[in-house]
Amino acid sequence: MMRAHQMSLRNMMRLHQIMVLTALAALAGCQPDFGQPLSLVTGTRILAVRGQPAEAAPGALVSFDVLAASPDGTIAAPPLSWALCDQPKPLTDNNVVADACLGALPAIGAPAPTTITLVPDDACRLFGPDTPPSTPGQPALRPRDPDATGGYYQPIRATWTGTVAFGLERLRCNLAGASLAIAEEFQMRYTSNQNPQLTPLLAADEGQPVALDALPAGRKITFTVGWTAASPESYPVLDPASQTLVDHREAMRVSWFATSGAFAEERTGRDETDPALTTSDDWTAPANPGPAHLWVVLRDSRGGVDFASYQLTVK
Amino acid sequence: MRLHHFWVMALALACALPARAEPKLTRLPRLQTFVEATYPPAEQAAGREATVLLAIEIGADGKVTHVSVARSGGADFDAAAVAAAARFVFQPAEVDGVPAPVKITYRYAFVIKHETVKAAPQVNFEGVVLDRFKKTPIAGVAVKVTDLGRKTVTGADGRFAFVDLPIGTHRIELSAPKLITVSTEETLAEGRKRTVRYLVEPKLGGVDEEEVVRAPRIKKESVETTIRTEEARRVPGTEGDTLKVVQNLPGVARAQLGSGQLIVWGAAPADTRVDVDGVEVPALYHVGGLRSTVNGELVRSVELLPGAYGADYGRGLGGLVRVDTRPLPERGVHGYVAADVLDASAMISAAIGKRLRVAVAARYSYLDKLLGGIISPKVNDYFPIPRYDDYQAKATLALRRGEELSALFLASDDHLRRSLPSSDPAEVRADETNGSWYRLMLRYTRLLPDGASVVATPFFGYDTSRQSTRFGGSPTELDLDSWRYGLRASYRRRLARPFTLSVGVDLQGTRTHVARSGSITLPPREGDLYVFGQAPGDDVAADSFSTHIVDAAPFVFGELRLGPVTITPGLRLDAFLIAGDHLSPDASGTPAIGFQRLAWALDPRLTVSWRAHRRLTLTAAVGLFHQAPDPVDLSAVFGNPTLGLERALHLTLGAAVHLTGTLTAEVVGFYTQLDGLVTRSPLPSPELARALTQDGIGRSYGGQLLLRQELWRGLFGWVSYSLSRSERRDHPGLPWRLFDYDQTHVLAVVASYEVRGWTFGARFRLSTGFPRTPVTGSYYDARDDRYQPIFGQQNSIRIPTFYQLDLRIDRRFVWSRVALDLFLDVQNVTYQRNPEEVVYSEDFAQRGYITGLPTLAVLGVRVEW
Repeated sequence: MMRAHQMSLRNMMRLHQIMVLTALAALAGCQPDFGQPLSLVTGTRILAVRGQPAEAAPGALVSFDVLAASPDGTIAAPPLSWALCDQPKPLTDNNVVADACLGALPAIGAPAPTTITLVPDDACRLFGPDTPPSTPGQPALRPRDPDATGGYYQPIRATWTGTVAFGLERLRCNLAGASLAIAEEFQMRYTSNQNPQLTPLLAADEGQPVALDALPAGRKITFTVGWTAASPESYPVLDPASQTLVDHREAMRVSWFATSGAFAEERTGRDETDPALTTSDDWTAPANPGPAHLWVVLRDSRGGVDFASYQLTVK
Repeated sequence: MRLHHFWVMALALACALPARAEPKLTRLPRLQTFVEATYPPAEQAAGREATVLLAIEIGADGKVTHVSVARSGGADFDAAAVAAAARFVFQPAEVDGVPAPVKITYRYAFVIKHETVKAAPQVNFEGVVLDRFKKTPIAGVAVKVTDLGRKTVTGADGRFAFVDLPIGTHRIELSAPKLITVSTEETLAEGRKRTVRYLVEPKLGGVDEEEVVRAPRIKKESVETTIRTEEARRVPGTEGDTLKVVQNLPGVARAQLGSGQLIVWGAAPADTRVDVDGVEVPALYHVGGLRSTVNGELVRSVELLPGAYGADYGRGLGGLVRVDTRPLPERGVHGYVAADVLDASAMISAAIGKRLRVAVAARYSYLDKLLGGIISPKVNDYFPIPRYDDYQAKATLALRRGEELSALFLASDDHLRRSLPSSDPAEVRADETNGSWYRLMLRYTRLLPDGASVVATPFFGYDTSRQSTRFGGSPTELDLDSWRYGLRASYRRRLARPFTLSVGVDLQGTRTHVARSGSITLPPREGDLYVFGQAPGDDVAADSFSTHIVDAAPFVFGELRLGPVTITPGLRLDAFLIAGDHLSPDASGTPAIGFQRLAWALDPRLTVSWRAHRRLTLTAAVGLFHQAPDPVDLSAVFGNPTLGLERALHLTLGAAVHLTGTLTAEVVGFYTQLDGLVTRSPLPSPELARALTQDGIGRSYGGQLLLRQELWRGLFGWVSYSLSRSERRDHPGLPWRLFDYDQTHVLAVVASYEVRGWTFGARFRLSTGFPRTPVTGSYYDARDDRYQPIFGQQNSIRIPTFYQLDLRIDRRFVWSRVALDLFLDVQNVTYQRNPEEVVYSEDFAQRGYITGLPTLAVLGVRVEW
């Protein structure tokens, strides 16, 4: 009887508990120091998985490649084992893929740096809004929920030297839970996501441009990277509460990686209300001169990816 | 042997009236002088009894003029009766208003009654009145047997005595100008002297008017811990908050920092009920647990019933916290004002005339403003300070003796807001919660002349909360509005000397509207696999629906005393009407289909206690408990509209030993079995409107020990220790796992000592850390540039053990009718860096802990009059 509000208060209390603990974690001395940030590449890693096209319907061909990095620079042709995940995750799992997708899966061809595969025909049933097949005579099953951009995703696994990375290919599925008129309007207005495109990296030392092959040692360098004006696309999303289509614009995020030095932020970006086409991050160059490698990965909020690698020289 | 005589004035008058026309008897003769007849010795020796019917002629002057035997009882009896009756003197009868001679019949009975012969009047009720805390005798206390109108006063040694009180139950009242008036009942048995010891409390500044010894109530609970408000206020770490003492009682797990949750005997926090004067309220504490939601000055006592409680309460699988508000002062204007670094509060009460008493109280927090002026706004973003306020009003109207009507209004507000800015749009976090609840209750109480009592409490309330959480691009909203109403009524009566019966009804209705959108995994549920700081699932949904749940629960329980054994059976019948307007998710263009069903629950309860020795009492109890589904869980999108009742079976076995008059040791073992628990569906694609299932079962078992010293020569305190294990199994076939809130060991040592206006207190706490699920690996989520954890066995590791020492110093100054209290409450004086939560590096390769707050000092002041 009282449980609604009790639960509500419990939620509030739990939320506050999370807030307080988050705060403690943010306060110096209350959180453990885990050492090097992930923006510092100290071993072989996959930094991005890119599907081309960024959004595809079941039955369509998609090619995948990765950005693989090591302390020695970009790995041009990593021998990756590719596999398509064929199990949806439990409804209430926070993770992006089911545990079953971490186990044995049929490989897509031989190990290769890239792969081309068909999006399975049942992808929108397994991972999308199409109602999963149910046993005759049994109640209908619950369609999957979309993410906040209205998207559903087919996971693809890339494995290499013990490193497991999942790319998520956005699926072009039917609009669920909408009237026919809304669905038709959605089909007319919606355009499949395209991968964003990075513009060249710029470096500056106290506002003055510096060349990437002549970065002053120990200085705070401001890197700026941008994207094309067409990259942040607009798209409609069905608001299930109001049953209307609401227009959104893609947020853009940039992840920064380097083999030395230290970034002020590991990721920067622009939210969907910010029309700016660039983002910057401060990087403290290492005190000792020498070569360094830098990677930037651009992601839009619908799963589109672009990336670039740069050779730096610290003098 | 003693001779008893019975005489009865015959109603039939044989009037020897003068011959006058229609004379009228205007006044009956009235016996003024009775002369006891001499019991004939021979007859008495032979044990014979008899009745003699006499005819007595009374003259106009009232003197007996002639006596004759109308029906003989035997010669000796006749002679003795006639001799005695001849010496009777009457107030003469009157005919037409004039004294006149009359003739009456009179029955004289010679009865031999066997009983204890006493040489003189005997004391059959005596006792001593002591100061409850100092245990010193109090002189000058008026001890009154109210139903007989007899009264005495205690002597210098605090003792009192009554001679030859009639056999039976009497109401006793103790009063003195500087004492809290005490009322109780005592039963006197034939041939036995009752000796009692009353512990009474002095009034604090004339404010307290507390009935410490209540009229005997049925003790339905096998385990209960009651703490007096004056003791509770002085416990270190509570910052003077009476109700926060509950966190230190046995059977209560230590809540995590910033949660304020009540975890009792391994039950989920939402399964423990909080009642104020018999009406359920949503929470005992404000969000964050900094303060209680009810002003402590209005509280007479707080009782923790961790399980197996009586049939008059239900709807919860866990424990029960029962808060009783105190009677308002009968005279004068009283109040207090208090302030510390957290908040300020005040209360004022006044007696208006002899029958009406009113009080209002309020509290307002300003810690956020205080810190806002000191620290940077950014820190406040990271470290959200909850804002809260609460206010209460109470009025009591004495209708007539033993009859009272009171009204109580409670209100509580909580606000919390925080934003965590980030250069990464996907890492921007914003949280905002606003919650309020209100209760208005009327309470009618009446003590009937036969000792029975009637209590009726209708109430009405409104709860509202708004929660908004944004984790990057995934917003979550949860809005609730609930209207609440109900009635609690009971009638209690002693049917026979060893048996008291209570019957009543507990009615409660809740109409709730829920609007929810966002991730199904936020907020997390008990049993969810996640790590602190992990982003919620990015799947989003929305639902908006209404529910109406009504529970009408008649109950009956009794108390049967059979010598040293007391048996308290009870029965409660809950009829839950569960209704909603959405049986399935909204489909565009399809009208919603509602639902309505009735769920019955029959909950028998039984407590048996055996006073094996005057210092030792053994108790066992068993009971069934049912709980209606949470309205939020009846969502067709996020939950399951077909959810039914959850059930719990409580078993307890305990012993209490009174080591001294104020030192008590209690040990209790408990076992709780749960079934029908609501859990998440484990399926990737559950049936429509079945995101939650009722496949969960659970069990909790353990024991608790309480060694408690009540206030004695300025010292009070307790040692409480609980050893328990609580487990859950979410679905058939899955292994048992530890409950998220399981704590194996919980130890609390509380002590306070008052000397010459100074009070020194200390509290030490130790508790096992909560279970957590280890992360055994991770994989890279390349879409979100985020690592995702791979979990090991659920809840197979724990946060390290917590221990903390708190100290408190309190100084009290008293000037006439005004008292000033200054206190300093220092928590974690040893600067112990207690782990509060497990955290991982971004790639989950390293594990560490968030530690709790360092030393925290709270300075406060309080003025009362």
